[in-house]
Amino acid sequence: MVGLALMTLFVAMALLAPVFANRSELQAAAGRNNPNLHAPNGKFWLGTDEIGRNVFALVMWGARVSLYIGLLATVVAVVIGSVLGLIAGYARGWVSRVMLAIDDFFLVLPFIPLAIVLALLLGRSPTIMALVIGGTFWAGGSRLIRAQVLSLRERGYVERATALGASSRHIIMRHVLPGVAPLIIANASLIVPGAILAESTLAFLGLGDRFSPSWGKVLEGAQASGALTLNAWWYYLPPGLCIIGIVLAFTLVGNALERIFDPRLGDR
Amino acid sequence: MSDPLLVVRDLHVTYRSSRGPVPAVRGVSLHLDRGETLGLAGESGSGKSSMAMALLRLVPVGTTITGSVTLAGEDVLAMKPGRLRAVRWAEAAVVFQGAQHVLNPVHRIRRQIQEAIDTHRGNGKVADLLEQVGIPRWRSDAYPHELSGGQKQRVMIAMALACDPELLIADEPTTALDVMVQAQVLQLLADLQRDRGLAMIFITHDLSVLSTVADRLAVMYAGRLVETGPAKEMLRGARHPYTKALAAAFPTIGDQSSRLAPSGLAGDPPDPMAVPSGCPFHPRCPIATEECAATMVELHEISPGWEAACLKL
Repeated sequence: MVGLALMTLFVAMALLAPVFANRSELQAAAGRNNPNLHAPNGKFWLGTDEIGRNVFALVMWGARVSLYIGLLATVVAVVIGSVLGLIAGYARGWVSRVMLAIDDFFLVLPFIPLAIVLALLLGRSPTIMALVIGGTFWAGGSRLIRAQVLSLRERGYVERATALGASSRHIIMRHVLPGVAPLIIANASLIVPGAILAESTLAFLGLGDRFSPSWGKVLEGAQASGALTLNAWWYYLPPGLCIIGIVLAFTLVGNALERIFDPRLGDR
Repeated sequence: MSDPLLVVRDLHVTYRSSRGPVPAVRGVSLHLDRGETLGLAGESGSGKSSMAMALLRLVPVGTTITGSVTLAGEDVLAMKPGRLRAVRWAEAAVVFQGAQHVLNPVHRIRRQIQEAIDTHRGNGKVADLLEQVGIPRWRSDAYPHELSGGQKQRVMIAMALACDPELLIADEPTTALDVMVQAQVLQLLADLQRDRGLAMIFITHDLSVLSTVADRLAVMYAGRLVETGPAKEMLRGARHPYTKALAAAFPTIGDQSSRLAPSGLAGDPPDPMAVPSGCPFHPRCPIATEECAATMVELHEISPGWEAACLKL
């Protein structure tokens, strides 16, 4: 419940960002006439950054960017993970082994260096960041789905469908996919926080777009401008808390979903 | 039409396992005419289900099937995957045991029967099929868990009939049912078989069940046929010692002497990876002699249309 409430809050933030802050406030020129690194007051609710931009606007718009990247990356990861997991679980022989090898490869790949290289090669727009994160985040989920498929494909109704003369595609879509759907959904809600965290990490390391900043990017700005040593808490605390909050929200919701779909997990 | 619907010659089915190859069926030959019912009996592990499933190549990947299976003039073992999928269900359908596992719990039964029809672009009607098996049409919206065990088995039978097959392979269709429902399902199968001229292979370990449905009987032991002959005569007086033991394992209701008579068969069926030499049944056979352990015995005619694999016959 707490998770759901937090989640609603952040989604509302992302949706309502344009109501509270104009997009132009993110531009470097927007802070031209404002005081730099100014503490919060009536006009700048969360103070200003080192070039005079409104931190409140940055944080509101950051919700949008962070959620966009987190969700898009999750969609990408879930689609790749589900397709490969289904095939790896259902196929036998060399197809299954090749799938498993690809899965293993992505599972052990050190994420950050790879993502940095990819982002440098492909560009750093939010969409590309999401694709890069999604493209490397699917391996664990794929493994989970494969395990479930291995058990489902031995069910009587799969045998019946085979005897029926049904094609593998038909069997996977009609009989196996509905069985793993709850797992896919629960897993997806646990990928979201990972993806958001990964994006923040990459942004903090200097990747990402300066003028559509995610929370990680705002933190990078705070770090680079020395806000921490200058004790400009209004600059680094809000985006940091937001990241913690959203990760917590999705993790709580994900765990709750998992418990609903698999009551054997019990209360942990 | 004079050709038999199904001819099986020297069928071997060998499963792959971590301990090595497991020969589950070791040289079975049989034939089935159109409209005929063959009762296939044997203990668990005798290879009867493996044999029947191999007829449609419904075996795990890595299993080798040799010999020949000719269904309606076509060699099943030589079929390409696409042709095999087309033949499955359209020419030979399967009624599995334990319908509750074979129906997908998340789909309505209407959709599952429709699935069979659609797979082969048939034009059967779900409601008609259900009525044929004695389930009211309005039940087609039910989920499997809303039906009783007998009803589920009826749904399974309706599904088997969906594409108007020539051959029905019924793999212990009544095993999970209580005796009354069992009788109803058997009667249903017998009626359908008669009305539609279906050929049927009826697999069971319960010889008494076969008296209702079977024209001919084939008894398997350790992956081979040990006796085959006309059902009525065989049920009245089996000749092979194994068939006798199998028949004696069921008491006759109302017969006091059979209630207390020791009528089981000592020992276990042989491990398919270590089948005894000679006649595989000799270690458990009451009339076995030394000769039985040394001589491999083939099926031979003991009277017209009746064959047994026993040196003593």
